[in-house]
Amino acid sequence: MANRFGRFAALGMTAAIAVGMLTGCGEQQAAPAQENAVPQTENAAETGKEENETGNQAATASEQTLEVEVIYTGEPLEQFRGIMDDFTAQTGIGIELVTPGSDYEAVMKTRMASGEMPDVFVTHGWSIARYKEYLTPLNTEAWYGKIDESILSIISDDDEAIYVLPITQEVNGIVYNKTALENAGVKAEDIRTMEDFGEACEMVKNSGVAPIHIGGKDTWTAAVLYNAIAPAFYTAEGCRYPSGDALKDGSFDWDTNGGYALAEIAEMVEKGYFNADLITADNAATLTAIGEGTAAFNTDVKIANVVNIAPEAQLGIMPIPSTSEDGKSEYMIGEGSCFGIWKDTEKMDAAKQLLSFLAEPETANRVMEADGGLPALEGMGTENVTYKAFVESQSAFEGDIYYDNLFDREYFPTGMFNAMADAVIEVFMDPGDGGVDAGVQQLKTNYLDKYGISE
Amino acid sequence: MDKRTAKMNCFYIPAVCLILFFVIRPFGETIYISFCRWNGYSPNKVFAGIRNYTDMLSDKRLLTALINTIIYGFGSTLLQNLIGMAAAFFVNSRFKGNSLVRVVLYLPIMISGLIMGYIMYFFLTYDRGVLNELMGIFGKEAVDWLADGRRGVVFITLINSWQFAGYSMIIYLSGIQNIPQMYVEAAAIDGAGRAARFRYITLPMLVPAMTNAVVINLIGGLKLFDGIISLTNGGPNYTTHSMMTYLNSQYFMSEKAGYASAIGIVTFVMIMAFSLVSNRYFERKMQDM
Repeated sequence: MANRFGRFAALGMTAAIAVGMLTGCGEQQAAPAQENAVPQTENAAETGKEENETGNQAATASEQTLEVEVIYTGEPLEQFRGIMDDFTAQTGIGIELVTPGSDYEAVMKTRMASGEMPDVFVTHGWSIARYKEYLTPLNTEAWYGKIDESILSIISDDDEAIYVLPITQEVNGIVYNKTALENAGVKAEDIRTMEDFGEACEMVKNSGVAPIHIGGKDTWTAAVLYNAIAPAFYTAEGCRYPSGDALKDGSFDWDTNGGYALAEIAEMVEKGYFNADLITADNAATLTAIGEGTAAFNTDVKIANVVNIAPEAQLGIMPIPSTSEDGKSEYMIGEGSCFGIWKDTEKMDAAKQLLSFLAEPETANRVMEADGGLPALEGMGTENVTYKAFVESQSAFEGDIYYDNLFDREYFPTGMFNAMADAVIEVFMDPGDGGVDAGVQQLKTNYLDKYGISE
Repeated sequence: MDKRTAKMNCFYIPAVCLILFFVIRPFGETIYISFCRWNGYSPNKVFAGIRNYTDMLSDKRLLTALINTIIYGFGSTLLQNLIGMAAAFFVNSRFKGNSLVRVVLYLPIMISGLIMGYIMYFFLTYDRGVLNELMGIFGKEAVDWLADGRRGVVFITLINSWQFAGYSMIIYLSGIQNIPQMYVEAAAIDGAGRAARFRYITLPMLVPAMTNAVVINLIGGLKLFDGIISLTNGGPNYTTHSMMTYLNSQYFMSEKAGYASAIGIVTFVMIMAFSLVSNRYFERKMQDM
C-alpha cells in the first residue's frame, strides 16, 4: 500500500512540476512585461503597495502597474524616477521602470520580435520609421495642440497621425568649445561653408588643439558624424548634390554620388583635423576633450552631457555648414524624449493618463531638465544650457539655417546606422581612395539590401 | 522496461521539458531563421534558402572573426593551462603566504569579463592610459595600442588567459593533490630525476584534470564575448571581433537576423566539433594510462 502511495506521489509530483513549468511558459507570453523587466528593472512594487495603502483596493496590482521603458541612465534616470514616483502618488497607478541603458535598441528589437511591447516607451527617433506599427495614434489627446511646429512634422506620418508625446526635441549640429575657438582666433558665426570649416580647423590645429574629437571605439559616433556631414552634400537647402528624393525612393546612384560626404571626411583625416586616437577613443573621452577644450568641435555630444563633466566649460552649438556659397547651414531636429503607447496594451487609459501627466508644463520641464534637450511643447521653460546655446546660434545664423529631420531617419531605410558607422571607420582606417571606395561599397550594399534590390 | 524503470524515467520529464522549451525549440527557430531574410523584429520573415550560408563564404570580416575565434580559443587554452599548471605546482608547495598567493591568482575570475575589459581599456588607451603614462616616465612616445587589430587580438588573448588561469590552477591543484605520493617516491628511489618523475608520473596522472581544464578553457575561449566588447568593441574596423561578437553586431546593429542566425549555427557546430575532438583525444590518453 505504502509502495503504491509512493508511486502515485512520485508521478503526481512529476506531473505537477511539468504542468507548472508549461503553465509558466504560457504565462511568459501572457505577461511579458514582468519577465522582460530583468535588465536594471526598477520595480515599482513598493509604489504599488503605497498606492494600495492609499485606498484604491478595487483594482489588482497588474492593472495598476504600467511598464515604462526608457533610455535614460545615471542622473537623468534618477530624475525621471522621481517624476514617475510623483505620478504614482498622484494617480495610484504603479510604474515598473525598465532601463536597459545602452542595450535599449537591442532590447526593443527583441520585444518587437516577440510582439510584446512595454505599455509606454521612448521611441528615440524612430516613432514613425520603426515603431509606428506598434504604437497607438495620439492626435485626439488634449496636449496635441501644444506640440511645437518644428517637431510636429517630424513625428507625423503621411496621414498626419502622430504616435508619441514629444516632451523634448534633439538638435544635431556641431557643438564647440568657445574657449578653444577664441584661443585659435576662430569665430563660429563666420563658419558658413565647408571651406570655412576647413580653415577654422586649420587655425584650431595650429593653436595646438585637436580640431574635431571622435570616439571611434563607440562606432555609433562615426555614424553620427556621417549623419552630420551627408546632409550638407545631399539634402540641405542649396546643397551641392541634391538627392533627397532619390535617397528616399531607393534610386540613389551610389557609384556616381555616393562618395562625396566620405571624401570630405577622408580629407579631414588626411589633414590631421581629428584626434590621434580617433578609432580607439570612446565617447567619454570626447566629452572630456570638448569639456576641457583639448578639442574644439564634435557632432555627437550633447551640451548638457559635457556640462555634467565640465561645469565651467563654455560651449556653443552651430549648424552644419553648407557645401556651396548659396546654400544654407543646417540643423537636424529629431525626437528627444518622446513617449509612445503600445497599441495592444490592456492599460490604455492608465497609459494615456501618464502621457497627460508628462505633458503638464511642470512635469515636462522636469523631463527636459533630465535629458538636456529643447522644449517640444508650448509653455515649457527655456532655462537650460542647450536651449540658450541654440537660441544664440539661431540669432547668429539668422536667415541662414535650414531645418530638417535627422538624415538617416528621413532619407535612409531603417537598419543603415551600422553601415554608416562602418563606412566612416573604413575612411578613418584608410583616408585614401581605397577607404572611400570601401566605405561607399558598405553604404551601397546595405542600402540596396534594405530596399531588397540586388546589385 | 519494468515498472520501476518506467517510474524512474518519469523523473526525466521536468529536465526534458526544460531542454525542449529552452534549448531545442530556440535552436530549431534559429535554424529556421538562418534560412530567412529578417531584420530581427518585423513580423515578416522572407524565406531566402541557403543565401545566408553562401553569403558567409564571401564575407571577409567573418573570416577575420573566425580566425580570431580560433586564436582566442586555442591561444587562451594553451596559456591558461600552462599558467594554471605552473601556478598549481607553485601553490602546492609549502611556503609562507601560500593561501594569499592562491587568492591573488584566483581573484581576477571574481571580476566579470566586461569589467575586466574596461579596466584593461583604461590601462591601454592612448590618451592618459596607464601604460602610456609609464612609458612617458621613461621618455617614450605614447602608442595607440589598440589601433592595430593584430595587437588587439594579442591583448584580448593575454587578458582572457590571465583572468581565467586561476580556474585552471584550481583544477590542476586538485589533480596534483590526488596523485598518490607512493608512485613519486618509488620513482625517486629507482633513481628518477625531477624531470623524469614529472614526465612519466605526474603528467600522465594529470590527464583527467587536463581534460577538464582544456575543454572548459576551449569552450570559454571560443565563446569569448564580453571582454572583447569592453576592450575593443570588435574594432578597429572589425579586426578583433570573434564569431560571437560579430554575430551580435550583425543581428542587433546591422539588422541581419537571418545572417546572424546562420553564423550562430556554424559557430555552434564548430565549438561542438572542437570540444568533441579534444574530449575524445584526452579520453584516449586516459585509456592509455
